[in-house]
Amino acid sequence: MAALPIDNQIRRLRFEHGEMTQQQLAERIGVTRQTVNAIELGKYSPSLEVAFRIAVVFKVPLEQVFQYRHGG
Amino acid sequence: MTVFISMLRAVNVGGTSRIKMEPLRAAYEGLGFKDVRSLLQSGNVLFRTSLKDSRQLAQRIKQELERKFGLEIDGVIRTLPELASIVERSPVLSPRADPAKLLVMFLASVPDAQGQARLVKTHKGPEMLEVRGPEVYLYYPEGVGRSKLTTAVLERHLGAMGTARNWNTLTKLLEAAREIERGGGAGE
Repeated sequence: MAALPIDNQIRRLRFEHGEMTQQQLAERIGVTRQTVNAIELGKYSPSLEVAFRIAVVFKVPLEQVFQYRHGG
Repeated sequence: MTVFISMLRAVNVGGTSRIKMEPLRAAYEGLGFKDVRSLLQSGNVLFRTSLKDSRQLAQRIKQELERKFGLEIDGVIRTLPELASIVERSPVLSPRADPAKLLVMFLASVPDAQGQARLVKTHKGPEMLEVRGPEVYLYYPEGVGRSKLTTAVLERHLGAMGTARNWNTLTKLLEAAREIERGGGAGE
């Protein structure tokens, strides 16, 4: 249960999309609000499917949602 | 031969399904399974067989348990590689996370998307939940005991029978299954 070497922009993307709430995003991608919160905080590693669903909601490529920290 | 992990639903948890592990193992041996081993008292049985079809195996086990114990006991079954990949994909990363609060619910079938949507819309509790195929990953930050997100609630929304195990049990199951795979399955 080590820290994830991956950053995410979900919080910013939510604000840029009409201040979408965690609950609204959660319902769109099929997880609970607490799961979205944990993903944003880097405490939860979602499945690839959920990662792609987030990208689809915000209509951006996956790497604009998640960024891998090389050699970090 | 494939190593299978059979997980029974609601065995020895205060309900009506009380079973001792020795006759339980004997029932599995009676089905011709090899290296039968049980783990804890909650209905976890590991074995090896040349049969391949998980659904068919689950059905045969259910019939045998009903014949031997007169109880209708549901259960789910996974192969060693399936369990290994489920454990490998642990979603919870916080170093302070409690493995007793991280559960995987194993479903008999992939749940329908509508039920899943309804569940995450109506559930307001503190739990994290993510459905991944026929499994649900769950984290109960306030513990499982008093949570409203019970097996019954999950089954009802997801429209599939299931049974959950916490992370401590899962890692023990995986370890035991790997021992059987390596040929050390003769012990308790």
